[in-house]
Amino acid sequence: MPKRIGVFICHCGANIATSVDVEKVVKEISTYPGVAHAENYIYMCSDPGQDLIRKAIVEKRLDAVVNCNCSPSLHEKTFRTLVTSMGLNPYHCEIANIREHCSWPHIHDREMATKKAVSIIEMIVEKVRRNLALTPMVVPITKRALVVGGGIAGMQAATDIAKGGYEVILVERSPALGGHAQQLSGTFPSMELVQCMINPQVTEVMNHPKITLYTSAEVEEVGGYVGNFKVKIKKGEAFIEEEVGTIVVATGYDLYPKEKITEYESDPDVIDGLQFERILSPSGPTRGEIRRPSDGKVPKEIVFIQCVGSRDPENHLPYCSRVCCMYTAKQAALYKKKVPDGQVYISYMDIRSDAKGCEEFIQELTEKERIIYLRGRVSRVFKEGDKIRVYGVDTLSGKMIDMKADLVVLATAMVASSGAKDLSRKLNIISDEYGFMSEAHIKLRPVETLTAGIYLAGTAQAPRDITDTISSASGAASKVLSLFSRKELLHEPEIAHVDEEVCSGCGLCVSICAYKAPELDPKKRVARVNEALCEGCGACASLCPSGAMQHKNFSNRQFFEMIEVAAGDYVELEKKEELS
Amino acid sequence: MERVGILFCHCDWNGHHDPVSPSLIGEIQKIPTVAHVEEIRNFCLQWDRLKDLVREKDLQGIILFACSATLQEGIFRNIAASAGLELNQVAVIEKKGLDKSPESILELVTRNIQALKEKAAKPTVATPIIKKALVIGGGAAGIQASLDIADGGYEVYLVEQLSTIGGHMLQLSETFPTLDCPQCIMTPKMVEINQHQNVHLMTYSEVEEVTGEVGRFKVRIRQKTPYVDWSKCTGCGDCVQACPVTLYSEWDRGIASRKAVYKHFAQAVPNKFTIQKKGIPFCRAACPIHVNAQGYVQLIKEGRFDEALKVIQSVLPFPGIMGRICVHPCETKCKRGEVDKPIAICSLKRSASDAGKEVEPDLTIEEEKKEKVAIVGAGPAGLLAAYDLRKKGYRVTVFDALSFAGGTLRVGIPAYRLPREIMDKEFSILEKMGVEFKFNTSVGKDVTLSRLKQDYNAVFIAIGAQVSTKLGVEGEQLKGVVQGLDFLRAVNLGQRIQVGKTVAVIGGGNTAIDAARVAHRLGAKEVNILYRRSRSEMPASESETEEAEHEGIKIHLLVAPVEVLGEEGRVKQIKCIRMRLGEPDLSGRRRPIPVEGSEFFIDADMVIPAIGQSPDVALLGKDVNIELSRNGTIKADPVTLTTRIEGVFAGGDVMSGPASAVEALAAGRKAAISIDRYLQGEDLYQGREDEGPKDVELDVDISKAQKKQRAQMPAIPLSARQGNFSEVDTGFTLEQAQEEAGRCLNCADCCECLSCVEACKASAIDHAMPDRFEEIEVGAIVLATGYELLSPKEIPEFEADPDVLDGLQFERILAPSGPTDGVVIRPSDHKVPKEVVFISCVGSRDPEHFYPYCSRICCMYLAKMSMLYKHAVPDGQAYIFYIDIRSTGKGYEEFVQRAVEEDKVVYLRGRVSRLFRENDKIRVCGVDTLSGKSVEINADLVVLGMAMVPNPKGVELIKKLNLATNEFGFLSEAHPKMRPMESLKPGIFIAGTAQGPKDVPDTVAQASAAASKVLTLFARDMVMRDYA
Repeated sequence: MPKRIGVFICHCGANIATSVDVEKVVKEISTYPGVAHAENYIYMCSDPGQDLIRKAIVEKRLDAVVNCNCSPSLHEKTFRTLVTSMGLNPYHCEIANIREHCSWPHIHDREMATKKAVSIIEMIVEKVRRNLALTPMVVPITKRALVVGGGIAGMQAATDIAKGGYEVILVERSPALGGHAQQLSGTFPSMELVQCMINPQVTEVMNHPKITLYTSAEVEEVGGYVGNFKVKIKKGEAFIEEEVGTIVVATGYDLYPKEKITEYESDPDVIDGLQFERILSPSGPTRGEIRRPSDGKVPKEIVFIQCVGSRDPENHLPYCSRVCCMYTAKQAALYKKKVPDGQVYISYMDIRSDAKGCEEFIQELTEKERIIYLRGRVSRVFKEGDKIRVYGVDTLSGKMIDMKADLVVLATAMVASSGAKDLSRKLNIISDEYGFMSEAHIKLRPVETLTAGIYLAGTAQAPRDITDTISSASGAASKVLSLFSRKELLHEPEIAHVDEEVCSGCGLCVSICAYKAPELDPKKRVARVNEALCEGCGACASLCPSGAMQHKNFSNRQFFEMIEVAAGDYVELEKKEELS
Repeated sequence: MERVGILFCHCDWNGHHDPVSPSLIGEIQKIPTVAHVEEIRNFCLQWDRLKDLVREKDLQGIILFACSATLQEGIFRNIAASAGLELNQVAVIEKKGLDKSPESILELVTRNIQALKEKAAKPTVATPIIKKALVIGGGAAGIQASLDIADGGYEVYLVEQLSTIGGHMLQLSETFPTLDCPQCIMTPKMVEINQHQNVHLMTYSEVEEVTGEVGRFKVRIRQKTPYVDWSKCTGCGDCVQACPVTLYSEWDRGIASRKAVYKHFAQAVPNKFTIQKKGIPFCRAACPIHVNAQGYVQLIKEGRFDEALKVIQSVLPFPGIMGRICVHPCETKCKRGEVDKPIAICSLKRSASDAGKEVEPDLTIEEEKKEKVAIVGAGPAGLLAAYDLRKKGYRVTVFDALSFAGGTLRVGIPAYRLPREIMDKEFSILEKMGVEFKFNTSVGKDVTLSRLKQDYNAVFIAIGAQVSTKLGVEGEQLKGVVQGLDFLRAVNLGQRIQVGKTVAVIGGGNTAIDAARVAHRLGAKEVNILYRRSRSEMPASESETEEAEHEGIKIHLLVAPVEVLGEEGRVKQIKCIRMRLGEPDLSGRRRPIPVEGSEFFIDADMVIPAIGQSPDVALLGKDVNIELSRNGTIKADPVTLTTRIEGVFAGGDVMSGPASAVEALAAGRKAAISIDRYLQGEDLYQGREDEGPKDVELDVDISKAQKKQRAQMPAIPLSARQGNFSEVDTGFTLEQAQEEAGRCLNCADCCECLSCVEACKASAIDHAMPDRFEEIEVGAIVLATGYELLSPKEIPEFEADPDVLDGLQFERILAPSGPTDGVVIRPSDHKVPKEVVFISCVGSRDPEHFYPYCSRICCMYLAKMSMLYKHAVPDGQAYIFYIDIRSTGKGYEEFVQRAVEEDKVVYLRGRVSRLFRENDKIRVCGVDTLSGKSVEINADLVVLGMAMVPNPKGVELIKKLNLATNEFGFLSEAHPKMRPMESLKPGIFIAGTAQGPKDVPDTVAQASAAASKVLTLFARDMVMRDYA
């Protein structure tokens, strides 16, 4: 049991130091029982900061370390690696989160925040005092990857991984590869036929010896953990079991159903972006001839409406759908090529042409094709005789707009593909309120999820265009390739553990576990934990009526000590308030 | 190759892909080796047919006419390979831009069949892949790519031009949309890079040259010298404390300054210091003995006078003397002169000498030597030669006809300019060091030169130039005509001299001025100086001339004596003539020409000609045959000062003709070097090009320098000067000196005062450390050279102002780790700005004036900064001018909503037409296109969302690598949609903003994507090529 604990308090620039009096914290905590050393520094995670810790471990003969800084999700690994290099057990290093849990929420109350910081640190000191020295388990890696989704993201990830020398299982829900891209006509800003771009890749995926393709198939069940996932795939009536080491989620997008846009009347000539793509596409039903659905006439006046269902927090979705501005501009350009005497109106809020070459594309388009951009929202769309009447407002001139169009194209919002929520539950990864999968860190870990071994590619994560989709797919592949280059993986040892003396064999733990880690020993009638499967979630330990199931380094004893420290402060405070 | 298939893709999509005529197909079929010709509609939709064709028609080669060779050739080849065809059996011809006449197509087919046959005859060449990667650029993109490749198990060289990795991201305050601080999220990655066993981190390095190709690139890398041995540097920062030089901080983008020895920020990786040097500053280069003027000026600025004096003494043992009478060529070359007036370098030397009275000069002798050196003449040349030689350990004897050291310094310069005790003190060190003086000994009379040659191992002749030049007019022999030098010598030797009532001094040099002022002090009622050219040609120092006039001496310009008229053998009058200036003569000054008929008379009962002097070599006797030049000076080698006689050297005025004291010192030093080498048997010529004054070229930005008065030298009042020789100039006060020194522009960056060397406990600093070069071999390269912001200077309609910032500057102000510790203040007066205007699209989306492209990230960072500003200044108001709000990333739209709703940021849709300073405020004039009204805001601070441009260093490198870019310098990708992370050159990949503006997540994703391409390349063992 550690006896000489070092406490290191980070300012996090101003993030912590503004609301927490770090000097005072150092002063108070250095007298706490078991604390052999305490100090503060502006960025503990930096090289000089880490040097301070190294020095203190040697000079003060520390046997445990509490780092008081940001969330452990950011730096637990940093500091555990550090203490390991100094000969300490990594589990004798703990993070006291005094940023997210203290300085940020209490930014306007320095005194309270300082007090709370001390309290949090004391709790963690109590915890680390009773931490066991643990060693991670070594698990082998199955060097095969599962890619879910056969659109451009999935195909790109699959070919990269296959070219990297590893087997890939590619599962696609529909009968064919290519996803929504197959429905598109041309691409912005280079105006190439999408099929020209993606079909070579479709052929490559289908012919690659390292890629096993399951079309018309879906992921039914996922078990296991990084390096050793077990996946059940449903293809038709049959089930296929595959073992893979990593999973890339590339489930793509759908369009927000235009039926939900009740303010616009439903009409065969009010279509969404993908429908118009089919009309424009040379491989489409009209072989690229521009005809409106209702009567097959060539539409002479087209109104494109942007942000339909997106950027509309009151009625629909708050987020920006990212690709609509550009695909609308592209569609307008293609339409003008086919119908040179036609007139295009685009109703928009902001023109978002921020990708490479896009701004120039729109500038050229508006100049050359005399496309009329109207800044404002369309309030109503309804059929009137042969025409579609479009009411709106031009916020730049401040005037009302009343147009009679032959065709109306709605840039409806990109939404997560159906089934994405379901899949994220099966994979045990987080998705946001709109069903888009969440990345591990929005800035620096954009293709990883918080679940080890599961990566994101393309629009499963958020709306984006083909270029960014390809980048993120290759990015995800890179993570897979890096992982597969390792010989083995280390499995977290902070997991459940049974005290067989106490266990009554009631089996509650078996029933609660999502990972199927505990099982009942039929002879001894006690629970056992399959350590490789246990993810350390703690569900069993909290449920166990006898206290036999304990979580290593999160034991009941540790929790009680921590509560006592925290509650002790609380009691003191209450007394103080009573007095005043 | 017997059976070739010719395939045309008939594209329904692109107009330039016309259908092939049946007659052309017929023609092609007639070619003997052609086994099959087919036009396939939308071939890209049915690649599978290829396999069948190869099998059915038993094809041995295929030529495909398709739309894009870059996108499809690789894949087409892979598919052909799966059908059993080799790499050298397929060719793709891009149809775009082809001449589509049947003849031309037919010719193309024939030619390509031939080429295929030739290729097929040669085996496919496979070269092994060197499985190491080079990543250029250590920002967010480069770091991510490096880590991914390194984690993938391969070695990576990460080359970064700055001394730290981290890139612009580390300059930011917090990042949108989560407001994470970049330090928190980036420094762990930086630490990981530093500790990763597969990463070779090479900061402060540049790629010089890349040769070779995919799988096998040879790269030459220059590791710029940091002048600090990083293997010893502990990053403690003691050197920074010691460094007196404050420079513009590019890291803080001018919001704060930094020292010449620096680390960009506290958490820099590696945690090492670098010294920034440009070379030798103008002042030091101009000095004949290269006294480190910038060095001591900087130390004086900090009030470190003792150290300043030591810097001077390390080169010049006579600072008190030269600090008073030096003609300071350094000041002539001082860059500050282009701003206002040069730094008072000479007087500051005196300040150091005055303030550092307690400083003991370093009198240590290197190593006693047995050789003896005789020095003839105890003037400045002889004394410095004696000092230098004695320092080296030689036994030095100085001979002089006078009874004291100093020569012309003592007999030529009046005491009110150079007090005797200063000379006594500074020359006394020579005796303390063990230099032997033989005074009252004329060489040539008391001892012969040949004797000296016998008794000593080397002789240095430095007898100066002591004979005055005659006027050459009638009446010069009259009583009352006294040569300037003779007059001064007599006075300086304490002889009683009767001066006249009306004295005329002829000449415009320092001797003339000295003589005039001395005459005045000795009681002359009226002193006139006659000079034949104009004021700007006067060789006398400006301050001396001014002082003379101040004391009441009249200077008559463009006047020359024609005749000295006397009465009873005594001077009475001078007949003068007026002059005008003609063309420049040999001296470069304009030649005076008499104006006919302009003669006039000036009364004078004493005439002191002071128009020049020359050496009198005859004094040395005739026993040694010294070669003379035409003007009577000793002929000696200009580089080594050797004379025709072995072991005899000559320098100073006796060799060069009359010159300044500092030039005499330089001659003395030169002689000492030569004599030392001569006595040690070394080459006398080698490596001496750095001696003496020289011109240097340094790029110094004077645009930011604010005009400031040069310090005025305090002097005793006129009333206290009459009848005595008390020193006139009293020297700067300490505060004055520090302030004057503060005007120095630090032309050379590091001033080489060497304080850091002393401060560094690890002995890591080496000011002579050279650049190093390394050659590496890699299989793949990732370019992550990043961006820069367009300079606000480029925007003429926006007035340059300290309170008009670019985005990165404001990031530094907002950053908790920034120079203001995150306190939001404006640069001009450090007040908290209450109204801040942010302007989007400055230089971007502006095809008429600047760049047409969108800079992509500005909308979001301006929103973020406005939000952070409001968090720091809750009662402030933020305005954002925009054209379109582009918040397309995940969570971005919601973020902007928050800025508007929670932080009450006012978004104004429209462009700003003008902004200019009005008293305390910056007036921003624009228009709100939504209301149609013009808007005027009196802002405290303006932040410009400047366009992202490619990093200029990166652009240079990209040119070197011969890679394609768009017209703005952003790297072109192999295919904008499908291959965004590949360049057009195989094996060279792209990450981040080098390709185009993008935010951090897109940068990181693309960096990982580039890494993925490297990893897939390295998964192979060989690169196949179809020809050697």
